[in-house]
Amino acid sequence: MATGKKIVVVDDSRTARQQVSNTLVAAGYEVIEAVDGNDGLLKIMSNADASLVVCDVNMPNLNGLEMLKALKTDQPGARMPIIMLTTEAQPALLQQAKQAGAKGWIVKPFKPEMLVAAVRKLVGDS
Amino acid sequence: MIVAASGALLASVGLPTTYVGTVPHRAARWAETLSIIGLGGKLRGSLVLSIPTQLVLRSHPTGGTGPEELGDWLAELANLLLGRIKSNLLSQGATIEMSTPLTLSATAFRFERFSGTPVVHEFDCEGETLHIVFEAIADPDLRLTSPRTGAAVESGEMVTF
Repeated sequence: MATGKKIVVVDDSRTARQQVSNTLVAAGYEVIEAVDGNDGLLKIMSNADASLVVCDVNMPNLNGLEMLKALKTDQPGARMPIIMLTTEAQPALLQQAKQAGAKGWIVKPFKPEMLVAAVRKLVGDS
Repeated sequence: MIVAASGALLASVGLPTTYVGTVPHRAARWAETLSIIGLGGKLRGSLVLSIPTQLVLRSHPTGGTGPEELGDWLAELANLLLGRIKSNLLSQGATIEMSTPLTLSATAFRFERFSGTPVVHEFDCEGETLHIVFEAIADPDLRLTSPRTGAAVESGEMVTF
Protein backbone atom coordinates (compact mmCIF):
# COMPACT_ATOMS: atom_id res chain seq x y z
CA MET A 1 0.00 0.00 0.00
CA ALA A 2 1.40 3.41 -0.98
CA THR A 3 2.36 5.59 1.98
CA GLY A 4 2.61 8.77 -0.08
CA LYS A 5 6.05 9.40 1.40
CA LYS A 6 9.24 10.03 -0.55
CA ILE A 7 12.67 8.69 0.32
CA VAL A 8 15.92 9.84 -1.28
CA VAL A 9 18.43 7.00 -1.86
CA VAL A 10 22.04 8.06 -2.45
CA ASP A 11 24.58 5.46 -3.62
CA ASP A 12 27.15 5.43 -6.42
CA SER A 13 26.45 1.75 -7.12
CA ARG A 14 23.44 1.33 -9.37
CA THR A 15 22.93 -2.20 -8.06
CA ALA A 16 22.94 -1.03 -4.46
CA ARG A 17 20.50 1.79 -5.29
CA GLN A 18 18.18 -0.66 -7.03
CA GLN A 19 18.30 -3.07 -4.09
CA VAL A 20 17.33 -0.31 -1.67
CA SER A 21 14.76 1.19 -4.05
CA ASN A 22 13.09 -2.15 -4.71
CA THR A 23 12.86 -2.78 -0.98
CA LEU A 24 11.37 0.63 -0.21
CA VAL A 25 9.00 0.69 -3.18
CA ALA A 26 7.69 -2.72 -2.13
CA ALA A 27 7.06 -1.22 1.32
CA GLY A 28 4.97 1.55 -0.24
CA TYR A 29 7.44 4.43 -0.51
CA GLU A 30 8.26 6.60 -3.51
CA VAL A 31 12.02 6.62 -4.13
CA ILE A 32 14.21 9.36 -5.60
CA GLU A 33 17.68 8.09 -6.58
CA ALA A 34 20.96 10.03 -6.49
CA VAL A 35 24.36 8.84 -7.70
CA ASP A 36 26.70 10.65 -5.26
CA GLY A 37 26.70 13.25 -2.51
CA ASN A 38 26.47 16.23 -4.88
CA ASP A 39 23.54 14.68 -6.71
CA GLY A 40 22.04 13.78 -3.35
CA LEU A 41 22.08 17.40 -2.18
CA LEU A 42 20.42 18.50 -5.43
CA LYS A 43 17.74 15.82 -5.22
CA ILE A 44 17.03 16.63 -1.59
CA MET A 45 16.75 20.35 -2.34
CA SER A 46 14.37 19.67 -5.21
CA ASN A 47 12.36 17.21 -3.10
CA ALA A 48 11.96 19.21 0.05
CA ASP A 49 8.91 17.15 0.94
CA ALA A 50 10.98 13.94 1.18
CA SER A 51 10.60 12.16 4.51
CA LEU A 52 13.99 10.48 4.84
CA VAL A 53 17.39 9.93 3.20
CA VAL A 54 19.27 6.62 2.89
CA CYS A 55 22.91 7.35 2.07
CA ASP A 56 26.09 5.41 1.27
CA VAL A 57 29.41 6.64 2.72
CA ASN A 58 32.15 5.86 0.18
CA MET A 59 31.21 7.73 -2.98
CA PRO A 60 33.10 9.83 -5.51
CA ASN A 61 32.84 13.64 -5.68
CA LEU A 62 31.10 14.20 -2.34
CA ASN A 63 31.01 11.28 0.09
CA GLY A 64 28.13 10.44 2.38
CA LEU A 65 29.55 12.01 5.53
CA GLU A 66 30.38 15.21 3.66
CA MET A 67 26.87 15.26 2.24
CA LEU A 68 25.40 14.68 5.69
CA LYS A 69 27.36 17.60 7.16
CA ALA A 70 26.39 19.88 4.26
CA LEU A 71 22.76 18.89 4.58
CA LYS A 72 22.55 19.51 8.28
CA THR A 73 23.79 23.08 7.87
CA ASP A 74 21.23 23.94 5.23
CA GLN A 75 17.44 23.94 5.08
CA PRO A 76 15.27 22.07 4.13
CA GLY A 77 17.44 18.97 4.44
CA ALA A 78 18.38 19.75 8.03
CA ARG A 79 15.12 18.30 9.29
CA MET A 80 15.27 15.04 7.32
CA PRO A 81 16.27 11.89 9.16
CA ILE A 82 19.22 10.14 7.54
CA ILE A 83 20.25 6.49 7.63
CA MET A 84 23.79 5.67 6.50
CA LEU A 85 23.97 2.39 4.56
CA THR A 86 27.55 1.34 3.91
CA THR A 87 30.25 -1.32 4.06
CA GLU A 88 32.07 0.86 6.60
CA ALA A 89 31.87 -0.41 10.19
CA GLN A 90 34.49 1.72 11.92
CA PRO A 91 33.27 3.20 15.25
CA ALA A 92 35.03 6.51 14.53
CA LEU A 93 32.96 6.96 11.38
CA LEU A 94 29.75 6.06 13.23
CA GLN A 95 30.63 8.71 15.79
CA GLN A 96 31.16 11.29 13.04
CA ALA A 97 27.80 10.42 11.53
CA LYS A 98 26.08 10.61 14.90
CA GLN A 99 27.60 14.01 15.64
CA ALA A 100 26.57 15.23 12.19
CA GLY A 101 22.97 14.25 12.86
CA ALA A 102 22.46 10.81 11.29
CA LYS A 103 19.76 8.67 12.89
CA GLY A 104 21.09 5.23 12.01
CA TRP A 105 23.96 3.24 10.49
CA ILE A 106 23.46 -0.06 8.67
CA VAL A 107 26.40 -2.18 7.50
CA LYS A 108 25.93 -3.76 4.05
CA PRO A 109 24.68 -6.17 2.96
CA PHE A 110 21.42 -5.04 4.53
CA LYS A 111 18.45 -7.10 5.63
CA PRO A 112 15.38 -5.70 3.82
CA GLU A 113 13.10 -6.13 6.83
CA MET A 114 15.57 -4.28 9.03
CA LEU A 115 15.79 -1.36 6.63
CA VAL A 116 12.01 -1.12 6.24
CA ALA A 117 11.48 -1.28 10.02
CA ALA A 118 14.01 1.51 10.56
CA VAL A 119 12.47 3.66 7.83
CA ARG A 120 8.93 3.15 9.16
CA LYS A 121 10.01 4.10 12.65
CA LEU A 122 11.81 7.25 11.53
CA VAL A 123 9.01 8.50 9.26
CA GLY A 124 6.31 7.67 11.78
CA ASP A 125 4.70 4.75 9.93
CA SER A 126 5.32 2.09 12.57
CA MET B 1 41.16 -13.83 6.72
CA ILE B 2 40.94 -13.15 2.97
CA VAL B 3 39.79 -16.68 2.16
CA ALA B 4 37.19 -16.78 4.95
CA ALA B 5 35.79 -13.33 4.13
CA SER B 6 35.64 -14.17 0.42
CA GLY B 7 33.89 -17.49 0.97
CA ALA B 8 31.35 -15.93 3.33
CA LEU B 9 30.55 -13.04 1.00
CA LEU B 10 30.21 -15.25 -2.08
CA ALA B 11 27.96 -17.67 -0.21
CA SER B 12 25.78 -14.76 0.95
CA VAL B 13 25.10 -13.81 -2.68
CA GLY B 14 24.26 -17.35 -3.75
CA LEU B 15 27.70 -18.47 -4.91
CA PRO B 16 28.84 -21.35 -2.68
CA THR B 17 32.55 -21.90 -3.25
CA THR B 18 35.30 -24.33 -2.42
CA TYR B 19 38.76 -22.90 -1.78
CA VAL B 20 41.27 -24.46 -4.17
CA GLY B 21 44.42 -22.70 -2.96
CA THR B 22 46.88 -20.16 -4.26
CA VAL B 23 47.91 -20.34 -7.88
CA PRO B 24 50.77 -18.70 -9.81
CA HIS B 25 49.53 -15.39 -11.18
CA ARG B 26 50.60 -16.27 -14.71
CA ALA B 27 48.56 -19.48 -14.57
CA ALA B 28 45.35 -17.83 -13.40
CA ARG B 29 42.47 -17.84 -15.89
CA TRP B 30 41.12 -14.33 -15.43
CA ALA B 31 37.50 -13.55 -16.19
CA GLU B 32 36.77 -11.04 -18.94
CA THR B 33 35.89 -8.36 -16.37
CA LEU B 34 37.76 -7.67 -13.14
CA SER B 35 36.90 -5.31 -10.33
CA ILE B 36 39.60 -3.52 -8.38
CA ILE B 37 39.41 -1.54 -5.18
CA GLY B 38 42.30 0.21 -3.46
CA LEU B 39 43.11 0.48 0.20
CA GLY B 40 45.24 2.88 2.20
CA GLY B 41 46.18 3.64 5.78
CA LYS B 42 48.15 1.08 7.79
CA LEU B 43 47.97 -1.27 4.81
CA ARG B 44 48.34 0.07 1.27
CA GLY B 45 47.40 -2.05 -1.70
CA SER B 46 44.50 -3.38 -3.68
CA LEU B 47 41.90 -6.12 -3.91
CA VAL B 48 41.10 -7.68 -7.27
CA LEU B 49 38.05 -9.82 -7.98
CA SER B 50 37.79 -12.08 -11.02
CA ILE B 51 34.41 -13.77 -11.32
CA PRO B 52 33.13 -15.37 -14.53
CA THR B 53 30.30 -13.42 -16.15
CA GLN B 54 27.77 -16.22 -15.76
CA LEU B 55 28.31 -16.21 -11.99
CA VAL B 56 28.04 -12.42 -11.80
CA LEU B 57 24.81 -12.72 -13.78
CA ARG B 58 23.49 -15.48 -11.52
CA SER B 59 24.21 -13.59 -8.33
CA HIS B 60 22.95 -10.18 -9.45
CA PRO B 61 20.48 -9.14 -6.74
CA THR B 62 18.11 -7.21 -8.99
CA GLY B 63 18.31 -9.40 -12.08
CA GLY B 64 20.60 -7.12 -14.08
CA THR B 65 21.86 -8.56 -17.34
CA GLY B 66 23.62 -5.77 -19.26
CA PRO B 67 27.40 -5.24 -19.19
CA GLU B 68 27.09 -2.02 -17.17
CA GLU B 69 24.80 -3.65 -14.61
CA LEU B 70 27.09 -6.66 -14.26
CA GLY B 71 30.18 -4.46 -14.00
CA ASP B 72 28.48 -2.35 -11.35
CA TRP B 73 27.58 -5.46 -9.34
CA LEU B 74 31.12 -6.84 -9.63
CA ALA B 75 32.42 -3.50 -8.34
CA GLU B 76 29.93 -3.60 -5.47
CA LEU B 77 31.11 -7.12 -4.61
CA ALA B 78 34.67 -5.81 -4.34
CA ASN B 79 33.38 -3.03 -2.10
CA LEU B 80 31.48 -5.51 0.09
CA LEU B 81 34.46 -7.86 0.33
CA LEU B 82 36.94 -5.15 1.26
CA GLY B 83 34.39 -3.90 3.80
CA ARG B 84 34.42 -7.31 5.48
CA ILE B 85 38.22 -7.46 5.40
CA LYS B 86 38.39 -3.94 6.80
CA SER B 87 36.16 -4.94 9.72
CA ASN B 88 38.32 -7.99 10.41
CA LEU B 89 41.48 -5.87 10.33
CA LEU B 90 39.85 -3.33 12.62
CA SER B 91 39.17 -6.06 15.17
CA GLN B 92 42.91 -6.76 15.07
CA GLY B 93 43.91 -3.15 15.55
CA ALA B 94 44.53 -2.10 11.94
CA THR B 95 42.59 0.73 10.34
CA ILE B 96 42.45 0.99 6.58
CA GLU B 97 40.73 3.36 4.17
CA MET B 98 38.88 2.19 1.06
CA SER B 99 38.80 3.74 -2.39
CA THR B 100 35.79 3.54 -4.66
CA PRO B 101 35.93 0.41 -6.86
CA LEU B 102 36.29 0.23 -10.63
CA THR B 103 35.97 -2.50 -13.24
CA LEU B 104 38.14 -3.35 -16.22
CA SER B 105 37.14 -5.48 -19.20
CA ALA B 106 39.64 -6.98 -21.63
CA THR B 107 40.28 -10.05 -23.74
CA ALA B 108 43.37 -10.86 -21.66
CA PHE B 109 44.92 -9.65 -18.41
CA ARG B 110 48.46 -9.90 -17.09
CA PHE B 111 48.63 -9.22 -13.38
CA GLU B 112 51.94 -7.92 -12.05
CA ARG B 113 53.19 -6.23 -8.92
CA PHE B 114 56.22 -4.02 -8.49
CA SER B 115 58.11 -6.53 -6.38
CA GLY B 116 57.53 -10.10 -5.31
CA THR B 117 54.90 -12.50 -6.54
CA PRO B 118 51.18 -11.76 -6.38
CA VAL B 119 49.19 -14.14 -4.20
CA VAL B 120 46.21 -15.31 -6.23
CA HIS B 121 43.52 -17.19 -4.32
CA GLU B 122 41.49 -19.61 -6.43
CA PHE B 123 37.95 -20.73 -5.64
CA ASP B 124 35.68 -23.18 -7.38
CA CYS B 125 31.97 -22.56 -7.72
CA GLU B 126 30.24 -25.53 -9.32
CA GLY B 127 33.00 -25.99 -11.89
CA GLU B 128 33.62 -22.29 -12.51
CA THR B 129 36.86 -20.69 -11.36
CA LEU B 130 37.03 -17.46 -9.36
CA HIS B 131 40.21 -15.58 -8.42
CA ILE B 132 40.76 -13.07 -5.65
CA VAL B 133 43.97 -11.13 -5.15
CA PHE B 134 44.73 -9.13 -2.02
CA GLU B 135 48.00 -7.24 -2.22
CA ALA B 136 49.12 -4.91 0.53
CA ILE B 137 52.21 -3.34 2.04
CA ALA B 138 52.05 -2.79 5.79
CA ASP B 139 53.34 0.21 7.68
CA PRO B 140 56.51 -0.80 9.57
CA ASP B 141 54.82 -0.01 12.90
CA LEU B 142 51.72 -2.11 12.21
CA ARG B 143 51.19 -4.91 14.74
CA LEU B 144 48.08 -7.04 14.41
CA THR B 145 46.53 -8.00 17.73
CA SER B 146 44.32 -10.94 18.65
CA PRO B 147 40.81 -10.39 17.24
CA ARG B 148 38.56 -8.36 19.58
CA THR B 149 34.79 -8.66 19.41
CA GLY B 150 32.77 -5.47 19.22
CA ALA B 151 35.51 -3.47 17.51
CA ALA B 152 33.30 -2.90 14.48
CA VAL B 153 29.65 -3.22 13.56
CA GLU B 154 28.99 -6.58 11.89
CA SER B 155 27.65 -6.93 8.33
CA GLY B 156 23.87 -6.70 8.29
CA GLU B 157 23.69 -5.00 11.69
CA MET B 158 22.16 -1.61 12.43
CA VAL B 159 23.07 0.98 15.01
CA THR B 160 20.54 3.70 15.87
CA PHE B 161 21.54 7.08 17.27
